[in-house]
Amino acid sequence: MMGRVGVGILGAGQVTQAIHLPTLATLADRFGVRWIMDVDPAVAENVAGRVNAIASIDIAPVLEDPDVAVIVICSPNGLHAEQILAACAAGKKAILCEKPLACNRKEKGAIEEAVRRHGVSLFVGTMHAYDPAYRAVQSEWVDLGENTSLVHSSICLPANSVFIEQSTELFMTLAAKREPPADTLEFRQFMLRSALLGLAIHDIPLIRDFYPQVGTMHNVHSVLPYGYALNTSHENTRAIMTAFTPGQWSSRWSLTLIGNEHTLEVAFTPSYVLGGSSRARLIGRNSERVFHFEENGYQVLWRTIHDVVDGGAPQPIANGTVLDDFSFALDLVDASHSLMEGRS
Amino acid sequence: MKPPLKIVDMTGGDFRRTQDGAVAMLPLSLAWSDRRQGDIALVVGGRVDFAAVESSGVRLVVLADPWKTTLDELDRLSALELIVCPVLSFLPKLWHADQPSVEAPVFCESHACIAGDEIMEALIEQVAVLRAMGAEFRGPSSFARTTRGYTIQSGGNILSADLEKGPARLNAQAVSATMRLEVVIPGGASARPARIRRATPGAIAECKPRFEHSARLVWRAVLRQLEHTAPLPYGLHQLRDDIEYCQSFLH
Repeated sequence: MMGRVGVGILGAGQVTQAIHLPTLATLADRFGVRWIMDVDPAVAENVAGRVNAIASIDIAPVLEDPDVAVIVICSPNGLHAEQILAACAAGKKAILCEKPLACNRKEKGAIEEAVRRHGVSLFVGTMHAYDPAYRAVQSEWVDLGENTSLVHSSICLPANSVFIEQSTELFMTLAAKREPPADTLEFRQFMLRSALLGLAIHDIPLIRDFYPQVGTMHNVHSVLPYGYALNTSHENTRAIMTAFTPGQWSSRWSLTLIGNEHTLEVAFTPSYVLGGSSRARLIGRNSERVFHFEENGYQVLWRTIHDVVDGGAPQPIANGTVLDDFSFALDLVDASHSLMEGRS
Repeated sequence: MKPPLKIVDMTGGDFRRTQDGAVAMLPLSLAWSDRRQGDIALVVGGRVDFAAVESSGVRLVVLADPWKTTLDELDRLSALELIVCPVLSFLPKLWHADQPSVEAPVFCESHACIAGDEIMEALIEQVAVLRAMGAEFRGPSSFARTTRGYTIQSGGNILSADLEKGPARLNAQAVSATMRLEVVIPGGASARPARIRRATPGAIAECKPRFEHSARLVWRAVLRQLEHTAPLPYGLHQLRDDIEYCQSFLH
């Protein structure tokens, strides 16, 4: 019989309210949200009240609760590593950390050591890596023995608020508006790092399925306010990554692979809505197959967590892969910054 | 009824044969000439017979394989003060779309698959399409070559291609904060239409499909030019700019 797994959520902002709670509501037979923790007491109370959970402004009682098996980290990026280490030390079975996993290599090293020592299953909210249509078409691609010559990730998104309004009634305290800093090299590097760790990171696990190393970065262009255009190559495979947000148009989020005989095109649904899986097309010279499923990547991710925690299933994306994905992101940042500095 | 305008084939028939007859798909108002004089000359880039062009009395030169044209040939064609219409495979399929370009794009990208193995052929086509979509080529540039293709980046513009790979196709996207323009163009030897989709605040508009070979679209443009109803959308000056730009990567 399936057990109901207890969940404690750290950070109750828009990702918790618009993504995780609506997703968990579709899996109520598998999960019970026991704690909602947020430093803002009004946010913690309001969000906890919606799911009949206990509100807290402190992480200690969440970690001390023996009925909480899974910790979800949706707090600011700078707290991710510290909270992962605390959850490991508290003996939790699994951790789902939102992207990015950490801020730097030192933090990544500490996480690697902690999850190994405590035997914790580590998941990152890279939902496209669990998208069932992508997984199906990726498996077909491998079975076909395709040789990938180009991997192209392209992200054009309107403001997150567009989708959040469509998925929930957000409760939060508004942050004060800040004046944008001057357009200097340091500012561009900071924004590029932020875009690579905040946006590109979504598809890095998918890119790495076909393109495991950053290789040589040939060019990078920082797109303000938030985006990038860059290209790299390693041996005979090229990778192109472009992104821009916020735009005043509908979203277009795609991953394209060019192989010897086939082309693979994946069009992802927005992550803030339960809009089903991506639509993935495997195109041959005289054929085309379309893959699409009812569940999106977050739903599959959560079901996977249940299978691992309650059923003892192996992690489909191992801790080592999750950590390597993050290293790839940092390698992209380092290579980009070096190119930008070389030009100045 | 007016007699058809006469085309003098100065390619020795090679070009018409190698293009699967696509170039021979003339509108009724055009016809091949069996003499050395006429209204339009068909020449091939890289081996333009200037003496034949000058003595033919033509008013317009249709330039096949424009990617093979040398800068010297471009100078000499310019000196003749004739109108020149380069034959491109992908760009003509955008000509029927109204105002397809994006103002001040933040990035543009294009990927092409072509049957040939010449970088210049794919690159000229891509640059011409992206410029028509609003791309401005500036910023630090790079060129990366692999056995099967290339990636070129100039600022926020990224062009990649896979060579010797069919069916021929060109995808492109130009993105600004208020407009996103996407095109998917099947190769010139097919009459399949381009898909042209424009996303703006609150709307996505898709152009009506037009099932016509690129070559036929080129001949129509030539006809409109000679009948003074519309100037050529792409001529000698644009070709020179594009060739010079593309050569800057390859030399």
